Amino acid sequence: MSQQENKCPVTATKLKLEFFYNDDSKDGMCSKCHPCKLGIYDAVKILEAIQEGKGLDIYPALLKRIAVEVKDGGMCKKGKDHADILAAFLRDFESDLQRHIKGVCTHHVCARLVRYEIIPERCTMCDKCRVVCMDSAIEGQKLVPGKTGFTPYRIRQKRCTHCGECIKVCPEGAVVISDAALAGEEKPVHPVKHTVGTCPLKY
Amino acid sequence: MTTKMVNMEFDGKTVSVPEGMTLVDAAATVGIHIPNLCHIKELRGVGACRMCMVEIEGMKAPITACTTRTKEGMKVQTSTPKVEEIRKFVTDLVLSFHPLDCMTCPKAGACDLQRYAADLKIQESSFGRKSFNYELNDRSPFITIDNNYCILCGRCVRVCKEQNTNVLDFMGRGITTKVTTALDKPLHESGCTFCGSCVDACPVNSIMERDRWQHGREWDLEKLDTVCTACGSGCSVITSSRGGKIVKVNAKEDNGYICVIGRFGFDSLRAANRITTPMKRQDGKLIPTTWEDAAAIAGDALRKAGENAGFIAAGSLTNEEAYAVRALAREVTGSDAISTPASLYAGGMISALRTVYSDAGINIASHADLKSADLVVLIGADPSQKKQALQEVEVMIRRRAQAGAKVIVVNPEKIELASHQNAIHLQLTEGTDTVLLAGLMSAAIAEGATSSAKGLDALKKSLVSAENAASISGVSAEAIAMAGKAYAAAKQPVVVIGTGIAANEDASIQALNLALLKSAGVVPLMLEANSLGVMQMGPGAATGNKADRGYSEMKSGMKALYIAGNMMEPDFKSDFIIVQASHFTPLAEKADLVLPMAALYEKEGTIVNTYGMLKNIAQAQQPAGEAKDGAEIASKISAAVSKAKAFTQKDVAAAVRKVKAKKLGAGSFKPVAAKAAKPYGISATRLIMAMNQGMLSDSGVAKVMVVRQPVLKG
Repeated sequence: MSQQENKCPVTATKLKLEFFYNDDSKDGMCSKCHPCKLGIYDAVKILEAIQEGKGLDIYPALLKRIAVEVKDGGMCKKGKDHADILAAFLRDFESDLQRHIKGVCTHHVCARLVRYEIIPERCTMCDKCRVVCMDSAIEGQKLVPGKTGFTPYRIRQKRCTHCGECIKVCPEGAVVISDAALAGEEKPVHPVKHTVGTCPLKY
Repeated sequence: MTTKMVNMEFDGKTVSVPEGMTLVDAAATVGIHIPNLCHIKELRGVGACRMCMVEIEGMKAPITACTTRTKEGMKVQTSTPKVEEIRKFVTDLVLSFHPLDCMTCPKAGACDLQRYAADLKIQESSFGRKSFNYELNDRSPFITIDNNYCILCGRCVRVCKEQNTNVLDFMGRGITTKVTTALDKPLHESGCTFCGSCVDACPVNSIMERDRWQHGREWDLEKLDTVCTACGSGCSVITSSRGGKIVKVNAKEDNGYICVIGRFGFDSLRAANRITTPMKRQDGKLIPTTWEDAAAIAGDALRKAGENAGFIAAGSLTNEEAYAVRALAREVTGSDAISTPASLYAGGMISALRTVYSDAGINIASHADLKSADLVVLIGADPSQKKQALQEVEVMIRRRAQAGAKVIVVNPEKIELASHQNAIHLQLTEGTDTVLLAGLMSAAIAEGATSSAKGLDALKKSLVSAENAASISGVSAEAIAMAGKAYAAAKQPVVVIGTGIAANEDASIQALNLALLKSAGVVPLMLEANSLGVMQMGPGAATGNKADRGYSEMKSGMKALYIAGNMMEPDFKSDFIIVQASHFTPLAEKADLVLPMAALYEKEGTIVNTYGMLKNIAQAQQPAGEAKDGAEIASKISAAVSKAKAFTQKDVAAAVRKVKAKKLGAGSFKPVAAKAAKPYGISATRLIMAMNQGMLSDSGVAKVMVVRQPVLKG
């Protein structure tokens, strides 16, 4: 768990519960009673799915059920305290949770829910980002002064793992994070394939 | 000791239940089922599954019924919306990682999870489906463990720890916990005794009999309450058969435990060494013959021998079969030479019981007595799971010890029970039992133990002080004083007398004196299922007839010898030996006439086990080949010996019903000289192994049995 308080409430709650679940010390889960060991595991899995962008509309109800029943049925205080953490999250950050399920992380923390983009107006084509990219997700050609015909820099979304190295090295601040779901709404890069009755973008 | 009853309310119904019982068990006694996945009857609850949550008036939160004890005036609601929600939640979560294989699962119909899912109307889990792809552990004989089906209730782990086998345990944590052995080894390399208690405990099909798959669904099986007759415990079992063949054997709930022989030994019924037809010796070889021919040959031999014919009835026969042998000997053939092997290993104890309780019956502790005992004195007894001897007795004593009862072990060897934390081990020099018991009694009397039985003054004179006893027997005086104090303070002691001293009359009398001092229950450990019943039926019973010849006197010199049942020793000599047995043994191979007898689970009748309980045996399977019930064989032969005195199987059954157990005599102390003697112990392990050797030699059980060869001492 990072020392810094996480901005995104979904990530913060998931990390708290996951840490409790995996903690082998006396402060961690004792792994004795069923509601706690199975319920907390399921809560972590559900939050993970939401972070992955696979959120479903029934998830808030399931999380609420876990929070209530682990509190009622759990054996010890440790388990009940973590049910309270989950309950507090559901109470205070309901809108955040709903946004996450729709595919938007407003804090730009959940990696799968964001999209890295290079703003062409700011880019000076210095090639620093292409060199540091571990996944060869950035393509483009370095500008040589006095010559023309260079391919502009852009990020190949399929390859990008959202590691953030390019943002650190860019001197111009040209690499930015935007919401994946909203970006898709404005201008789909490729025509979206619709099978009968479903929309991959959930509209 | 009678348990105190309390009045309480279950769902508005006022009932009277024993105090201090868990709510789950108490509700079961009045017919209310509280759902649970992790509770085992009579074991301490852990409250892991949270299915048994109930609401109690005056408490703000629901509470687990398996960890709460009954109290006067409690008002319990077993099914409120709040606890139903918790039950649904737990079942829902458990179903999310349990494969929904009910259509092929052999446990379907007897599965607890299936039952609760149906009761709570859960068709499929609302949480995400999870599977962890464990490898099927089928590397061990008899038992398979499939962790994919495991619902982590921990029943198997607890039942294994409770009886101190300590084979199964949890590995890992959280939902990925795995029930397995140390270092993930196969069961037979981890010290497993294959008692199969985990199989009975498992609520789903995670731990199962190895050959259970595709041998009938639960509702195809015909269930029958019967009794295993492989050893003295005579455990109640439930056999399940399909198409007339036994498929599996389970422990009955009130018994709680059966060993590997009772549970998995039924494959011996179809073993290759089964005797299926009568056989006679011709030109030095055993050849098959018909029943008429065999009966005629046996009749001739017995008629010619007359009163020189010897009869030996094994303790594993039923009362009916033993009575038939007695009738064949005394009434038809006219011989008084009839005995049973119990007189070899427990002869001293039987005459001691007659002496002390003045022939008015035997004060035998019942099974229930041992279950509620708060102190157990084990004298010369070594019931052991690891050595495969009287395993059920050890488990019973160990359960009491776990619940806080003290165990006083009087044994020259360091037996397994002696290392229990509640055990006091008096490790005496061999042969000094009478001295040590005298010292123990004087220590108990010094602590205030007293009795109203006759002859206490004479007994007191014959006793030696604890210090003297300590110096002779080689036990520290403090240990004797501690044991004496514990014995004097015990409320419901039980004295268990084993084969270590049962052959010696003086030592047995001294042990019975000790029991009489606190009017304790006595369990004379018999190795064979029906030793006590056989003795009441005839062989070895007191007739006052001096011509009665004992077991060892009949080993040679009889003109004809009729041996019924599995015998532990093969060295009998006679002109003509008739063996009535179910399996080929070394003795049957040298017999002149072999008669096939119905084996374990193949006959009807009654037995009296080592706790003195009368139990009914039901026939779970037809006898193999031409094998017949022992009583029927005896009646056939009786017709061949003498038409006038012939009896039928019905006569025998009617006569057995008339035999009534004698009432318990008052009992009086019989002083014996406290002095050291030569060692006289007999190893129970060796005798039981020898007894079941014929039956088990071709069975799968023999492969996992620890075959040891301790020899007869003295």
